[in-house]
This record gives sequence, C-alpha cells and structure tokens, in this order.
Amino acid sequence: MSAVTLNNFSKSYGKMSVLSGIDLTINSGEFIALVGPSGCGKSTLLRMIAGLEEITGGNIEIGDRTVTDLAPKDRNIAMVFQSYALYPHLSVRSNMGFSLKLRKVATEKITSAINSASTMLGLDQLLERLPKALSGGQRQRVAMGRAIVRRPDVFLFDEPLSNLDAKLRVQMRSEIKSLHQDIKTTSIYVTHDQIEAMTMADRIVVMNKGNIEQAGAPLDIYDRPESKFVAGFIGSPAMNFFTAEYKPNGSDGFININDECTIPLPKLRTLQQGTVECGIRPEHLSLSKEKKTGHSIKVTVDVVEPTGLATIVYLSFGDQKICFYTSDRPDIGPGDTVYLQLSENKLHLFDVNTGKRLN
Amino acid sequence: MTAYTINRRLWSTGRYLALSLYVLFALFPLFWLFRVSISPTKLLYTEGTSLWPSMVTIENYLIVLQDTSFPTYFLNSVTVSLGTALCTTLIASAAGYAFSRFKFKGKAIIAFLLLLTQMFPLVMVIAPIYRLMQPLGLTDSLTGLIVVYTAFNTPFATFLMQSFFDAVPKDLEDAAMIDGCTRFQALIRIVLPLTLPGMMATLGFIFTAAWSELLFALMLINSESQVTFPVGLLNFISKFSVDWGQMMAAGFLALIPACIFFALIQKYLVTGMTAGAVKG
Ligand SMILES: Nc1ncnc2c1ncn2[C@@H]1O[C@H](COP(=O)(O)OP(=O)(O)OP(=O)(O)O)[C@@H](O)[C@H]1O
Ligand SMILES: [Mg+2]
Repeated sequence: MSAVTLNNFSKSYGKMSVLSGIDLTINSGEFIALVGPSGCGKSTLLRMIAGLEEITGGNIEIGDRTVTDLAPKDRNIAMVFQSYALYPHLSVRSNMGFSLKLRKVATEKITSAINSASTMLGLDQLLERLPKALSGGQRQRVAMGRAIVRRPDVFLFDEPLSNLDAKLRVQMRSEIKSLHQDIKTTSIYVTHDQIEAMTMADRIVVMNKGNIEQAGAPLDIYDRPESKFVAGFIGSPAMNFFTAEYKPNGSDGFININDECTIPLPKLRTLQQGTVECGIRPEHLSLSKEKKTGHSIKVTVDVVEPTGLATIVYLSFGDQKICFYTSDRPDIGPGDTVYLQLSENKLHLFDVNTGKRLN
Repeated sequence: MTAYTINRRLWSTGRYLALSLYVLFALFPLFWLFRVSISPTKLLYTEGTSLWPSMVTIENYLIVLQDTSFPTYFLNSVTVSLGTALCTTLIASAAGYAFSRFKFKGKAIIAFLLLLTQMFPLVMVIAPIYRLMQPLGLTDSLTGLIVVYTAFNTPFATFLMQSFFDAVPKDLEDAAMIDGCTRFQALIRIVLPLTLPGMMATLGFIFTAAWSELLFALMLINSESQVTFPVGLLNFISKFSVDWGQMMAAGFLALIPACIFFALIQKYLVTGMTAGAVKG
C-alpha cells in the first residue's frame, strides 16, 4: 500500500498537448475513480502512471520512491486492461502466476498465492483452462486475479467492466469494491460509467481536456460541482441549465428566469449583477398541474418515460429542454401544460463565461 | 422431412461435391506425375492416356537414384531451401516486429523501397546480380544462392510477418511489461509463442519458393556438384528426346521434402492461437 503523487504531470504528442500539468495526490489505500469525456486523457494518464507511456513533463512518486524514470516492471503496479489482455497460450493458472514466476518466487509460494486468489474470485474450477474457453465475466476475473497475486503497491484499472453486459457489470462492480475493502490496495479506476464511479470510489477525479476539473468525494461532487462542466457531466439524467439574470437586492439577491419566475438567493460574492447559468438537477424539481405559489415555470410535456422505479419526463420551456425525475407516477401525457417548481436551495449558479461556480 | 431440412441437405451435398471437384482438379497433375513415373517407357506412347498403365515398374526410380546425379541435386536443394527459409524467416521476423511495433524515422520510405523491389521482373536483375556476386566469389556456390534467395524473399516475408505481429494485441505486451518483463522478454515469452504459426507459415512458404526456383539457379551455378534439383530436372531433356519416366520419377521424389516439411509444421498452421486474448 502506497500513496501516489503526481506533480505537474504532462504529456504531449509533438505539439498537441494531451495532459497539461496534472497535480494529484492519491492517499494510501484510497480508491480513486477517473472520469471524463472520451479523449480527455484518462487512459493516457493511467498508462503514464504504469510507465507504458513516456512522460513529457513532471514526475510521479509511488510510496516514497520517485518512479518517473523507472520501467513498468520496476514500479510494482498491476493493471487490469479493458481488453483483459490475458496471455492466450497460457492457462488461467499460468496467467495468474506469470509475474511471480518472472520474479523467481518459490513454486510453493506461487501455488498458494494463486490458490488464495482463485478462491477469492471463484476461479478454482477454471485454473487449467485456456482463456479462450472462458466467458467474458470469467476472463475479467482472471485479469483481476492476475493483478491480485502480485500484491502490488497500486492497482490500475482502465474501464475493466465496459465489455461486460449490464447485469454482470453490476455484479463485478460490487465484487471489485468488496475486494478493495479486503485488501485495501491503492486503486486508480478509469471509467465511463458514472454509477461505477459514484458507487465504488472514495474520491472521484473529473477530467476535461487534459485537466482536472474537480476532485472530491462522490456526493460532494454531486452536490457541489465546482464548474458547469462537472455539473453537467456527473449525474444521470443530467442537470438542467437555464440562463437567468442575477440582481442584488439589499443584503440579498435574486435571479430572474425569463421574467417568469423570480427566486431569492443569498448575495453572490464574485458577481455584482448580470447573466448567470443556473442549474438544477432533475430530481430537485417538482411538478404540478396548477400554478402554485412559489418559484415555478410553465412548461409543456414532450415525452414521459416510466421506468417502473421512477418516471422521467422531458419537457419544453420555451425552446429549452428540461428533464424532470420523480419516483411518483404523475398522470400526464405529451402536450399537457404543467408547472415545475424549483427548490431554491438546490440551485447551482455558474459564470456564463468561465463556467465556474458562483454560489 | 421438411422442405427446410431437404434444402439444407442439398446445400451441404452440393458443397461437398464442389469441394471434391476442386480437390480432384488440383491433385490430378500430381496423380499424372506419379502415373507416368511408374509406367515402363515402352508403354508410355503405346497406351496413350489410360488412367493406369497395364504394367507397373519402379525402374525409373532406380535409374534416377543410382545412375544420375539426382541425389546430389536433391541434397543441394535441401541445403539451399532450408538455409533460405531459416535466414529469411529470421530477418523478416525481426523486421516485421519493428514495422509492427516501433515508430521510427524513414519507416514509410523503407516500406516503400521494400515494396519497390517486388515490382521488377527477375530477368531484369540477373545480369547485375551476376556481376555483383562474381567478385565476391558467390557465383557457382550454394551460399551465393542462399544469399540471393534470402534477399529476394525478405520483403514479402517481412510484410507477411508484420501482419502476424499486428494481429497480436499490443495490450498483451503492455501487460507482460507490467508483470515484470523487459520488452525483449515480453517478445520472447508472449509475442513469439503467439506468432509461431505465422513464422512456420513463412518458413514453409519461403522453403517452397526456394525449392522450385529455377532462374537464378540456372544462371549462377555452373558446376555439376552445385546444381539444384529444378535445374537438374532439365538434364532429363536431351537434344533428341525427353526421358519422361525418369523425369517424372525425379519430380515425384522432389515432392517428398515439401510434404515432410508441411507435415511437420501443419500443427502450427491451425488458426485461432490468439483467440481469447482480448474480447473481440
Ligand atoms: N499516439 C498518439 N498520438 C497522438 N495523439 C494521441 C495518441 N494517443 C492518444 N492520443 C490523443 O490523446 C488524447 C487522450 O487519449 P486517451 O486515450 O487518454 O483518452 P481517454 O480519456 O482514455 O478516452 P476514452 O474514454 O475514449 O478511452 C486523445 O485526444 C487522443 O487523440
Ligand atoms: Mg481510454
């Protein structure tokens, strides 16, 4: 178990910069999820930590060693690939024992390490098989097993579950989480799936265009996104945004949405007055058929999607699309005119230009 | 039986029929080779094109093995073909790996030059090659033939090997390097076992190509002791007659090493070695 520290970690291909000065400390035993849109540099960052990709600038420490210039094999890390990358000509047993054998660990020790890992992962019956005779989920487990037997300082995962079907993904998700709770190895987990990130990680790092937008505990990021990008990226269905006018009012302030709805707010510290980007999550709206007192806007129903557990309603507010999420089953249909109330303490305000959080 | 199953049976019967016809067509010349080689010379012209001669003899084989230099030619050919196949596969594997895995300056140009060498008819380069080889003492020698064959087969073999290396996912090498290998160890322990079928195929291919090469062998070799078997076959054609029986017997014997060779490597030629490495 070791902490990982990245200092001004950067990468460019020729003139094109892919990562620009990443600073990040991952505590010993922590489970970090790296999320961000496709092409933002998550895999590149992970591969640089592994030593598979050359580092253009900055340095990396694992534990108390600076490993910037070390080969992958000398960093004592293990990586689980999206493609699993099992050695096709080796049995499950040899796949799992490969690294130990290279390190010339005694045969009995290798056997016992493989046995305990395979018991933990339910692979006992499959040890003599070749990878091609395994199902996707089993291959995934072997890849995990190969990482575990190493007892590495750090686990790296690059979208390990994205090739599995939805049900297996949920199952493996909780298996990986409980595995981490058992062995508590520092883990860095790249994923596209925000539910994975939210449920598994101690801390989520949201990346965008080669930068870290925000790093924090999952619920903190969800409740207090530091930028419009994070607010829109985390959460599904995604947060709704409107443009609104902010005006100060004595010691307080208020925002005005389309002259239709005025919502009082505590005064903003960084903005005198002007246009702001106002965000609210779909579950922080409430719907009524009649206009109620409070802060409501008049909208038209476009689509109603009952999922059983909840109902997701897509509505139009002028030419803006709004998503509303409720665990009720509202009696509405397309074309209906309804009112949405905005809970004033759930509003997120962002700067229109920089996208930074204002309130 | 429903119409569907009848239909399916018809299809599968048709498929086997077509395949059998194809195999028959491909193997018939070989059969004819054998048929002529065991026919007594005097019956060759009198019996015409009957499928099987009325009398069978091994006389042709005995003459070829005992009274001609065919055994020498044969050994020469084995030496040259094996030497060429080994050298070419070795060089092509190294080059193919580099093309598949590394970025380097001039990669595109080298690839283009390799391709360019494949575009000229061999006849055009024979004279310059001869002039080049003579001062080096490589004419009239089996080593010289191996050098020339290797040079001419390497470009194609390189592209062939590159495609086999390309088929091995890069993740496997990355995983091996994280697991504790150097790049070289990853190559030896992971990539090589997976490209072995490809190397064997290349080996077999180049062996066959060198085995049947005639042009260079004819031009570069003078002395009887260095002649390879394709050139040797021509000896059966004299000014006044062709000794068909002996020539066919020699030809049939020449098939043997190729058959043995392919029998040895055929287990590597089964596909699907990389199946299961990554989810496709
Ligand atoms: N060899 C390369 N040469 C040039 N650019 C590259 C190279 N490899 C990656 N890139 C660029 O680096 C950026 C980051 O790629 P990376 O694979 O890290 O993205 P990612 O965040 O993992 O995306 P995804 O979620 O789709 O896997 C991309 O814009 C990509 O085009
Ligand atoms: Mg990626």
